[in-house]
Amino acid sequence: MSEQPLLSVEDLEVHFPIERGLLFKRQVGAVRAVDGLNFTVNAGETLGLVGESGCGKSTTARAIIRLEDPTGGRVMFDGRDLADLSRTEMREARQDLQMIFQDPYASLNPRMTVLNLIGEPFRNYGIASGSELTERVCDLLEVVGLSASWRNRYPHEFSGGQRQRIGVARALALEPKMILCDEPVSALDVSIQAQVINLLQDLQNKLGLTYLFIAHDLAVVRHISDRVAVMYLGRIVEVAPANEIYTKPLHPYSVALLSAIPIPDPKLQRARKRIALEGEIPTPTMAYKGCRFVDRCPARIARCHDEDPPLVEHRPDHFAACWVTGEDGLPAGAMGV
Amino acid sequence: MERPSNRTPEGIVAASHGRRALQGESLSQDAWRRLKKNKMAMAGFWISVVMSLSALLADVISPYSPEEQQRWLGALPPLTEVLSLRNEMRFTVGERPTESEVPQACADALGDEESHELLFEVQDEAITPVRLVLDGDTVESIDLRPPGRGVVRPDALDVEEQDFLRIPDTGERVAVARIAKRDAAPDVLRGGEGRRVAVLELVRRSPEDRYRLTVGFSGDGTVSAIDRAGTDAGPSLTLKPGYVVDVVLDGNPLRHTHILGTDQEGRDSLSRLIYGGRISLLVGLTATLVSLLVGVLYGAFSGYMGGRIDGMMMRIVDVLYAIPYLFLVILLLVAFGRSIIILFVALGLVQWLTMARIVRGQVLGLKEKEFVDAAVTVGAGWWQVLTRHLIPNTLGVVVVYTTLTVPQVILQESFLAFIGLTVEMDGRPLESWGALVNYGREALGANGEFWWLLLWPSIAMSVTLFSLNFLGDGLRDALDPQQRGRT
Repeated sequence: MSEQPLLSVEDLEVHFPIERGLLFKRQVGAVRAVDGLNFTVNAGETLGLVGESGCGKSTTARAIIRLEDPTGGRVMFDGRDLADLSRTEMREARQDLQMIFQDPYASLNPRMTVLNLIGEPFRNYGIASGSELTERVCDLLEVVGLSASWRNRYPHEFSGGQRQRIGVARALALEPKMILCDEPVSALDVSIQAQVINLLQDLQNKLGLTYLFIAHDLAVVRHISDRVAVMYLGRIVEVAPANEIYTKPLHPYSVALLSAIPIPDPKLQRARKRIALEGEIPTPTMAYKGCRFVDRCPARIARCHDEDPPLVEHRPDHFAACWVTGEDGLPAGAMGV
Repeated sequence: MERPSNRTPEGIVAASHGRRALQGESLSQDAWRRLKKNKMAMAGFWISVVMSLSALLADVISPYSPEEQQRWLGALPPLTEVLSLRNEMRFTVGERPTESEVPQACADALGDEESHELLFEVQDEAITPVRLVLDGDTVESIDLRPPGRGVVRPDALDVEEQDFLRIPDTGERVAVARIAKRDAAPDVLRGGEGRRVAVLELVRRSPEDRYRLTVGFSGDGTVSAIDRAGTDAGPSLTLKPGYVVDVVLDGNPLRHTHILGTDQEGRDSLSRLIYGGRISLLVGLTATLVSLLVGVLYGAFSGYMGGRIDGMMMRIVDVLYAIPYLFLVILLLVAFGRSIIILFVALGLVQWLTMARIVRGQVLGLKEKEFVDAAVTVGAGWWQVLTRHLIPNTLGVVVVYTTLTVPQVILQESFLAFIGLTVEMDGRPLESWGALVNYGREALGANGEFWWLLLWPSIAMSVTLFSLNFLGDGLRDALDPQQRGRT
């Protein structure tokens, strides 16, 4: 890669301390929600971030925009380390980095009108006020496909999809370079999901936005992403261009994850072999010496227990963190199929 | 384009209508709409409004001054008609009686250019000075001096039913039917040492002492003639209200009614009630406002900061909570004087604690919501998050608690007044409903003959407290997000 990536996350760590004691709290452990995370997002592209529940996807997004404070690592955004900024500096930096939230019902203040909700960033940064603010809010409403005449309504008068559009408009208000989308469609009906996804894509084409798109719906991610990163227990296990990861996954976890995508053809669906992972998701409170996936991996070898596999570029632009896999994927029969 | 929700069917049409803004229904409007369907709450609401208005407009609607004493009226039961004569009146021929000396109706009539005639039926008093020689508490001799008949020294003095004895200086009546030599002296005269003389007045009101007095006014409002029982009464005359039995102005009797009666000092009960409500509501509202201001900010700040700061701030609340509030209030009132300001401070000081706890609890839950994170990502500082996002969302609970705090404070103030800790302002006692109840209880009499003195303030207080409580309950239901959109 010749160009400098817009966002580069290096060894990001977010550990939540577990405290005991009534008066004098002492730390007895930590939840390692994000533990040594590395990825980059280039300007203008969409990176999909997938993984099962609790693997730290949302925490990653929150740590990047500093809703959580990272306990380690660097978040290089547009030449600055966000993890190192003071609160006031971060407030300025957020003009270029915005976020769309998961729950369109909880992410809009029920006591504010749409005008105030979308106009809030303008007010906070002293960009516009009065009739100019109204004008800009109306523009934004039209950009996201809502009628400007609805600006004096309250969030509870809108449907889920409409609310999410309001959330998108709010994120667009400051004309950011990048938007973090934290499962923006997972709370919506399937029919509405496509509309919001298409809106996000249109906006990207029009405004040259960069997205970090977090989801657990693999089909949605494939549709919108240029590249996809698979996350497991606070780490990236595989990164690859979207089509390649769906056709030729390298990491055993990705293989298992992708085999869980339902195929809308009963014959094919029945003929296909699904790989059911054994065991529970391990708790993120323990520290690992070897690969995090080792306990559930059907392809594990002795080395996996002792040595942490690094993220290696096995094919051009296709990285995976696994000792077993190679350029042509996993050896035949490694997944027990 | 997705379909707008069911609640906004006109949205499709609106989309083509350009940028004309449509009004949405806010949460408070929705709550108000549902409150209007709750009959009890609305009754409570309107009664509270009426009570507040009457307190606000007390100066206008109150028929009499709540403090003006008319001792000669005594305690009159409700709906008693009495003479429209309140002050001592002085008439001088050729002069205009000052307005305060004449009943208002009379003064009004005097405005026009005609001449008028005021007719008084006066019951004069025959006063006989009585000197008692006392030795300790025993009467040694009785000495009567009827006008123009020398000194009489009877062995015993019988006070007839229409007569009474009084102390000349104070006008206090001496409740005794008979005084005899070598008997015990009347109660009020007891407690002295050795031989001494006590002076009393024997007041008699007999039909012979009744006469008619006519005061004529000319068109410019000056007194033209004073006529007593058919003869000229001289250039000047003073009339005491207690002596007048009837007043007639140009043939119309000047009388008025005390709807709710009067108390034992002759003060109008209705006026006292209205002004009492003013004090009660003022105390309730002010203390609640103090608690609102301090409690909401303190609680919201504590909840939003969380962690160690929250812990310390809430421990302070716990410590204050542990102090028995009544001691605190009484202590403050005793130490700093019974000023109404001290009462506001004392009650507000205690009330904000619960408010702070409630708001903190709300904020603890609210600050985890995504809209707070969203506000932070669009550049809101902690003050904006607190005032624009967190506090407005606690409003429902705060409003409910506020409406329930007002009656609570009224009750607390009434309790303080009931145990005798009435407040004062500019040296005058401010008598709230609690003080009136206390007065009524003391004045009730053995058989409850002065029942109205206790009943009215009790009813006024109960109705107001019930109203505010119903309103609070109704608001709680109306603001309940679970019920939004229903009914």
